[in-house]
Amino acid sequence: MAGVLFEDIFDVKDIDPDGKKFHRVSRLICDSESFKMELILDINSQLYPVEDGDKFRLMLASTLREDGIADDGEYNPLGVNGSNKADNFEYVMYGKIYRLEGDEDSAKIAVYISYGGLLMRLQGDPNNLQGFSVDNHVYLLIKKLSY
Amino acid sequence: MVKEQFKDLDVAKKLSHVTFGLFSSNDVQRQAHIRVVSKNLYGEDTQRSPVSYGVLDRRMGTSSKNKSCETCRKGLADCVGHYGYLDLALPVFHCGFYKATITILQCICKKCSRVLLSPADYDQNLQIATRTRLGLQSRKALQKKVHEKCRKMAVCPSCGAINGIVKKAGSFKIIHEKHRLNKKLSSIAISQTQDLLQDAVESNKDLENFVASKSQEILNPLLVLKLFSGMSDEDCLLVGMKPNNGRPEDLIIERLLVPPLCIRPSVMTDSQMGSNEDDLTMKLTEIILISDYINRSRQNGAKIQILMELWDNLQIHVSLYINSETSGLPYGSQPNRPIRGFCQRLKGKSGRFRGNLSGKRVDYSTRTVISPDPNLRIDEVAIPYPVAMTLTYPQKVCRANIRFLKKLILNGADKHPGANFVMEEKTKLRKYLKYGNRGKIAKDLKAKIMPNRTFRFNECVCTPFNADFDGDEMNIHLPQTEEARAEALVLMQSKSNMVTPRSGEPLIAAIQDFITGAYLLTQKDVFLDRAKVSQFCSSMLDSRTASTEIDLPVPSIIKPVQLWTGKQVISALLSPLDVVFAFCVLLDVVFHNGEHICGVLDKSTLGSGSRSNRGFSIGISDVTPEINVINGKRELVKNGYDKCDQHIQDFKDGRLHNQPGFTADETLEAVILRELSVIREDAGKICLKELHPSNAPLTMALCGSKGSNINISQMISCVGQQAVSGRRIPNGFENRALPYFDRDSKVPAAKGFVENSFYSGLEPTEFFFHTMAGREGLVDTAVKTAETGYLQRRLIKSLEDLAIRYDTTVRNSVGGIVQFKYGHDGLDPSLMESKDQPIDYNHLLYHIKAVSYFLRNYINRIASKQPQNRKYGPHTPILDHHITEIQLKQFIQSCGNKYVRAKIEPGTAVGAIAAQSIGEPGTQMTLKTFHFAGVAAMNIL
Repeated sequence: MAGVLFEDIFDVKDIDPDGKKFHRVSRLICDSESFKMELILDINSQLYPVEDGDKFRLMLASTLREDGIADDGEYNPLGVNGSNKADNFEYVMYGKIYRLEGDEDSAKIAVYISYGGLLMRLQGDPNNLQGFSVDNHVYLLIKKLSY
Repeated sequence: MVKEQFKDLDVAKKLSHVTFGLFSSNDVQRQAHIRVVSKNLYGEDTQRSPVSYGVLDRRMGTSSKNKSCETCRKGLADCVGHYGYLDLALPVFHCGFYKATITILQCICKKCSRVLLSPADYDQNLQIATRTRLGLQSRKALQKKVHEKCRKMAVCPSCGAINGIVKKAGSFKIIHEKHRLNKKLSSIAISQTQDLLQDAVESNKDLENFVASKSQEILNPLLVLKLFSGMSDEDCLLVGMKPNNGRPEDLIIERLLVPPLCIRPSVMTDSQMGSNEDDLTMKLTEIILISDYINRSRQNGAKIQILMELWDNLQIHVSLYINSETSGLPYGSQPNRPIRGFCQRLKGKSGRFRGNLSGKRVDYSTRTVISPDPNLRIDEVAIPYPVAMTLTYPQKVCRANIRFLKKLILNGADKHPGANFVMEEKTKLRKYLKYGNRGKIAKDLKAKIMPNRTFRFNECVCTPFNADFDGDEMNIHLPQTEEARAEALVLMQSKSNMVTPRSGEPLIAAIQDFITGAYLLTQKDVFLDRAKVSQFCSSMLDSRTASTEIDLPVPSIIKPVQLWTGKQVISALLSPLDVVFAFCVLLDVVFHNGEHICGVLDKSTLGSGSRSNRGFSIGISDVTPEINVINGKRELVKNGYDKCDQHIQDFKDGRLHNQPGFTADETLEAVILRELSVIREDAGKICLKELHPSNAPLTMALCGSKGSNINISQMISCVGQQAVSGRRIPNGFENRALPYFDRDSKVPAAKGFVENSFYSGLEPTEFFFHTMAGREGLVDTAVKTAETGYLQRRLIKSLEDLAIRYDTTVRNSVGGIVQFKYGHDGLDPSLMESKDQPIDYNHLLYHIKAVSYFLRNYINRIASKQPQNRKYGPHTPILDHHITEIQLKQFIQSCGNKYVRAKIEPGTAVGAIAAQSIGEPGTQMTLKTFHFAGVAAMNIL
């Protein structure tokens, strides 16, 4: 699929390791299955409750359009026309990459993304994290996997 | 009709200099129109006409509307007043020149009135004194030197007379102890005098004591006058007087100037035959009365004692006339009602200088109560309609505004934009309002006419005005000329006074509600649906920007429902307005720091919107401690008390090790105090830890809008040690603070430790201690505000003339250089970006990159549509540092611009700014201490 920056399946290892600080927001600590990536993610637990041990599919994409053409970054109250990546997912967020940490030749780099204040850190092998650059907007799409 | 504007016409005259001097008796007579002799004010007739040659003679002007001046025939409004004079029967000392009189007497021979200097000294000092360009400091030094030398001379070098010590004895009595300086010479002189008086002593035994002991000479004004008149012009120069401007004999009053009637008006009371006379008038009649009496006594040959008594009396009255607070008057002669002498009219805050000349009542101003309005911009003030329709501004008619003004005239005086007057010469007066100011502090806000009757402005500008809304009133001034408007607009704009030059910190910033609102809005778990976001976005707009279209950002959560976060609202607030380009950078800040304080943001309207939808209140449940807190605190207090008991026991057994420089008692105090402050701190920590994040006081303390951790812990867990003058409560009873406790008890509770909280309630003893500390705070505030006010005034008075000149030096009013370059870098501290640097290079580079990033994206977008335009040369990175040529140029250019802008402007009153910057924190210090109601740790002063 075009416009997909990263995709993997994650296991929830821990929820709110420092204690629950906010009513409606939880911090998930997850590990990925195939690329061995580490993920820290804030999600709205009221809208989308996640429990310890859950498994979910996570995708980071630069656009929601299936054809991969970049969107204009403006809000369209009617939603995206036509078929849409989001159709296959349960929980979608939109945010901005605000920091990249570590060089490309180091073993680990980290991508920091903020979804309107809900923060995410994705850490791992640089090879899996290509196509990320600071100030770019990304979509985060999540779907829980059932056994 | 409105008062005519004062216009300078053809009065181009240049003053070369102003000379101050003494007013001699001749000058007095020359200035006066009549000689005043009569002690009566009014004649015997029924009209109560003033007695001619009396103090109220109409030839000295008039003080009533229906009578005109008899000298110039003008009425009350036009007559400037004319002086009179009165001759005193005997000369008296001038109370203001009393010190100077004594000093000169100490310098001259009490027989021949030459200066007591050896011929060599005389010539040398005279040479210095006659130099024309002698500075003030060196002149003073010379005077001091001459004075020192003369005081030690026992024999006059020119006539050989013996001179002694001149000093004052009692009020207005100068004595000359002739034989105190040189005993050897004096003993001969004394024996000679004794021989001379042999006969007299033999016939009158009472005289014996006087002759034998020290002989004193009383220098009465008459004698002094004679001595002073005999001084030569050179001698005058040596004692520090320029004979042209005033000779020493002018220091003695022989003739009083009687001021015109208009400055001492008599007030006629309604009931017939009664009038209230001014203090000066009353004093003058008394002086004439005594003077008359002296004259008569002298003619009749009255007893010398009586005459002397009258003379003393005259001296006292003349002194009180000049300065009614003259010190050192004999008991009983002090006036029972304080009168307003000349000094009192000039001196002090409401005196002539500070009250009528430096600051005066003005037209085109108004005053009313102030109230807050968060919907106003920070440079706006709301003016009520009645005010706007009364204040006027003279608007000249020209081609461009004639149609508008015609409409105003048609609207008349009863409709808002209207005209109150039409003046001749084609000048019209228009109702319009532009500027605001509070009391003494002139600050500027643009006017916005609104209903209701209070002045309103944004809460954020409370700090620079030092205003609150507990009933404060403010004045509005409406400048009346285009020049004045322009000046006020540029110099006093609250927008251009946002940063304090003292520390370079913002002075106008979001306060209280705004901070709380922003804090709550930017919490991580604030999610808003589309309706809410739209509402927030529309509440950002004011009347001026109402037509702006705001693009809603893409929601942070798209699925399952579209939700925006609070932080996105802030981002949206920043992006569409004038800060478009700073957006990329700022965004980073907003996102990095979960909470974000609006700081100097121009648009602080956000706060009102968010707070008006969300309640924020505090109740008893907010300060009710949980069981953990109670237990934890109990534990803490018990441990702490035990430790204190241990220390006390150690002290009693003599096992307590003295701290360096302390006695055993002091050591114990210090140790206990430390223990107790630990208790309070820990108790505070416990309750803070246990509090729910939604707790209102906690929220306020965390986001810094109001209150602090101490306030919270005082309410919930423990009030803490009460302190009076920085130590534990002192013993007010016999060896104990209160009779409830044992004598000499040192336990925490007996010395003012309050273990209860405001919630749990204080024990009677605790309450008493708390009141003591609270009272101290109140007294402190009252005393210190007066003190710091005076301190600041003195600072300003000493520095007010320092300013930047065009050659970038700091100079005082006479051109003396204080600093070659202001602050050694010539930069305005309020325009610093980073610490002591006019430019924050990193931030600027980031900004430039972000701006051109924005442009590049824009170009990219266009370019992608037209593939042949793909080459956009100047924006391609030229270096490995990812910077393009254009970016580099822009960067260097804006660095230059910023530096030039940060340089201090010539003409800046840096002295006043410096004085304020030092004085202002002083006033703050007093205000802040009492909020903590005597918590020991807070007493830093």
